[in-house]
Amino acid sequence: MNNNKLEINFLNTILKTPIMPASGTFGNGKEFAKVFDLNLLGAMVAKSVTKFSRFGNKSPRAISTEYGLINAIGLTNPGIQEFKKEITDFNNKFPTLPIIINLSATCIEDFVFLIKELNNIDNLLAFEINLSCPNVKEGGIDLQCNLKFLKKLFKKIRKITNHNLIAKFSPEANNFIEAIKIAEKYKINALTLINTIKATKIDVYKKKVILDNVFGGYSGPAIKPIALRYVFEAYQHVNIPIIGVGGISSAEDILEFMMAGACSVQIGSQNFIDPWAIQNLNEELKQLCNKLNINNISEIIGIANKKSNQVK
Amino acid sequence: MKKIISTILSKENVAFNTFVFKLQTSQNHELEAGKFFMAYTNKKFLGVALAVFEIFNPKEFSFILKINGVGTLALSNLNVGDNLPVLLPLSDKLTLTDKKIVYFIGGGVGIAPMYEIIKAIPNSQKYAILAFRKENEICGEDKFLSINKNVNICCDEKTNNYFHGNVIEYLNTLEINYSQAYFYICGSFGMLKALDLFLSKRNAQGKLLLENVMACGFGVCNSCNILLKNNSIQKVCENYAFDIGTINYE
Repeated sequence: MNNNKLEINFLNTILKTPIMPASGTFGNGKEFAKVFDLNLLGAMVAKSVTKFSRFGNKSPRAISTEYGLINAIGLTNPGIQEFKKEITDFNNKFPTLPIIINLSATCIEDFVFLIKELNNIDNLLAFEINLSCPNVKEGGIDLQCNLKFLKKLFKKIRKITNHNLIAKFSPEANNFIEAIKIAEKYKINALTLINTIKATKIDVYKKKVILDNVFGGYSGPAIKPIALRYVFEAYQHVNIPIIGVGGISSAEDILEFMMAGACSVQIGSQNFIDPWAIQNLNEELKQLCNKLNINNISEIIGIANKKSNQVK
Repeated sequence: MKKIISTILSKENVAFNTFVFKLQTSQNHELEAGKFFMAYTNKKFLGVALAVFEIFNPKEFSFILKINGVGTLALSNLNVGDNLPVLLPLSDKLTLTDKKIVYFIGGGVGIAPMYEIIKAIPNSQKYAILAFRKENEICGEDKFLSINKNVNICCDEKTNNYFHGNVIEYLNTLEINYSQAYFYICGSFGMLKALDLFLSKRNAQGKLLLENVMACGFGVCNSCNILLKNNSIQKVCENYAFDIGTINYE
């Protein structure tokens, strides 16, 4: 099997592979460019950018647990102006690599501002709208829970850009299905499922919570079955592409997400455990496809998820 | 930076919940004084950031491990002959002083980086101060005495042989010309902060080798960022040595 058998058509763009990094686990590519050739990514997904620079939460803001990572970084970023310089520099180094830019804001006006500022960035594949950061006081999961806000936001940002829009959702809202249907209705082009899950950890010896922010977002292998369930369910309810993310650490995991309905996947915490994870997963995925006689990876999307009869 | 396989050559229990591991790497490790590395017990855990203790040759070095969480506990369960993937070398090159009087202060496992730094500074009067909270945590005295004659230990818990009290209380017993001396300090955040404030007031110069929680170790996760007084943000993993008086603790 040669490399192009991993090619997928995502939002009318041919990606070399369905594998891309998850926002916040890959910086803006500068560090990883020293580790492996980023041209083998399906797309580059930049770290969340906000209107102004943010230091983030106080330390400690990450904890390793038995089955994953809890982070309370708090959207650390240099702000839109510095980000533009970084991403322009990245574009100059990787002129053919599609870029997804993750946007965070607390109000519609700031999302609009960010999109307008970045509308002319080269190689822009999509804006990924972060509706669900679990470790900020404003502009986090509350955005996703407010359906009225979602409608207004989607309507507004759809009007001001012709670029693709991806909504990144958390599983932590009882209106999840309704929210993704709103996204589809208001012409959001794709979904990223799922963001990290709000969690905490206590030091029993010191009798106190470890994270200064108390809560953080839980990611890593523990959340994989949960993420898979949300991709599976979303595939039942909407007809826009889904990017699966959550605890992926093997080629088998990637196939699981794609068979559940994802057309591409993002690798998150695994980038921290192994900087070469994406490069290795790409190779492992080719080999697994060979082994399973998969001629083109697109053919397995949703294959284990018959829309008509599996969800009660 | 490279991720390579190492093999555990020896493991010694040197104090309560504290071990010294000696590793042999499959390729040259390229470590030197002041560098650190990440060690990985499996594909599901984050790496553990560890300072280099002793460098024996281009393929052998040791580190000190104190159990304080799931990652370090898993590492402590490894034994001689086991393989341990490591990511190294990490952090920028440490600036070595040419001052004539140098103090090396290590708290707990923060004593580890001091060993190679002492060796790397050849022509100074060197004083090692090893600080511990409890008597059963004391370690490293003989090792440091083998490379430097001035080694003092202080312990928050009363012991028969060592200074009773913290590092600042110990420094207060000494006659130090602070503006002439240079300090290398590594230990808990609390100890570093206290010493930073103490030494800043005395116009002392030196480097604080900061321990901070990090998820990746190579500048991507932003877990270890700290704010400096000049309002710039520094990733601890990219360079964990900070000039005295530059860290913003607000």
